[in-house]
Amino acid sequence: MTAPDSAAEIQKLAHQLGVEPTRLAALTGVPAGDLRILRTQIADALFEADKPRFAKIAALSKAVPTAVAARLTEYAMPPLLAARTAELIEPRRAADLVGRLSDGYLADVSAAMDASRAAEVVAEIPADRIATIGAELARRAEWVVIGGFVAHVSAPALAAAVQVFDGEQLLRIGFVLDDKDRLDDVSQLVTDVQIDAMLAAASKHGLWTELDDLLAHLTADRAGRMRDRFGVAPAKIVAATQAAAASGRLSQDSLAKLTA
Amino acid sequence: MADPDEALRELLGAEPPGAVLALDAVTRADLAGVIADARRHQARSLAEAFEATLKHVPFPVRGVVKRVLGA
Repeated sequence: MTAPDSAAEIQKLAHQLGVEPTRLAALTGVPAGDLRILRTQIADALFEADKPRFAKIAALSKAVPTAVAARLTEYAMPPLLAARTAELIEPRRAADLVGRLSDGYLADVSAAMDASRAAEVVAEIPADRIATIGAELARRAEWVVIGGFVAHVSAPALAAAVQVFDGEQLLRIGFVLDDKDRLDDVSQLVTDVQIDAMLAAASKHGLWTELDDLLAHLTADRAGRMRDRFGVAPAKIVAATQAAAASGRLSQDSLAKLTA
Repeated sequence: MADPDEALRELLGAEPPGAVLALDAVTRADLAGVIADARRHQARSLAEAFEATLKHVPFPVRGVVKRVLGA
């Protein structure tokens, strides 16, 4: 794994612990694989710590019809509690429940949820709702949350969600994807306009680490589309990219993928 | 918890990765502190969420619900 992989893991760890990534700067030298193990250990510990409490709520919810449970949940239950409870409910019932919640509340619950603990539920959410919730989470800059969901949404849902993100959002989400193998799927789904926007966003916002990480994970075939778009990019974007490579902010390997 | 490695083991309920245990003692202690803070924050947030939920339960049965849920 690469230095960008470690930086992405630190960003995810910081999100999990509720601190800024700079607070964990001392972990920069730890390999990404070890940081990922640590993050999983922390997630397990946090989940187990208060599990008995929300396990009882999950058990109680079984006694109520889903339609009633949905109304009660949204009316009375703060998103954090709903998220933890959803992770314990039988997936089909949870998916039914999710289908009855409003977009705003579902976005709140999603932001508090560990998608990997409710993977079957996430996979059942219809594509149009994933796109709507994804757009709302992107508006809130919840990159780590979206990155966690991407690993578990259905293929149609991924396609619908990718359409709603702009270049900057795609770079920021791609950087913290839990399942980097899905970058290839995402790169197939983006339009030329979105690729142009990603190249422009890297230049405008200095997202070179994010662009570097994206290019490092793309197969040569997929990187070819990036190269084609870079070939017709405005001169100032090309110049900024070359300057970033010259200063080490973008790797020479990535520059080669864009220019070779 | 004076020993940062023991603190990490206790907080994680598992053996921390080798590269984490190889960090200097100050960093390990700081990491243990951040994890402990996150755990306290989660417990506090869930307790507040629980109380907020219970406020929607009719007062006459609130005590029973509270006991059932172990709040």
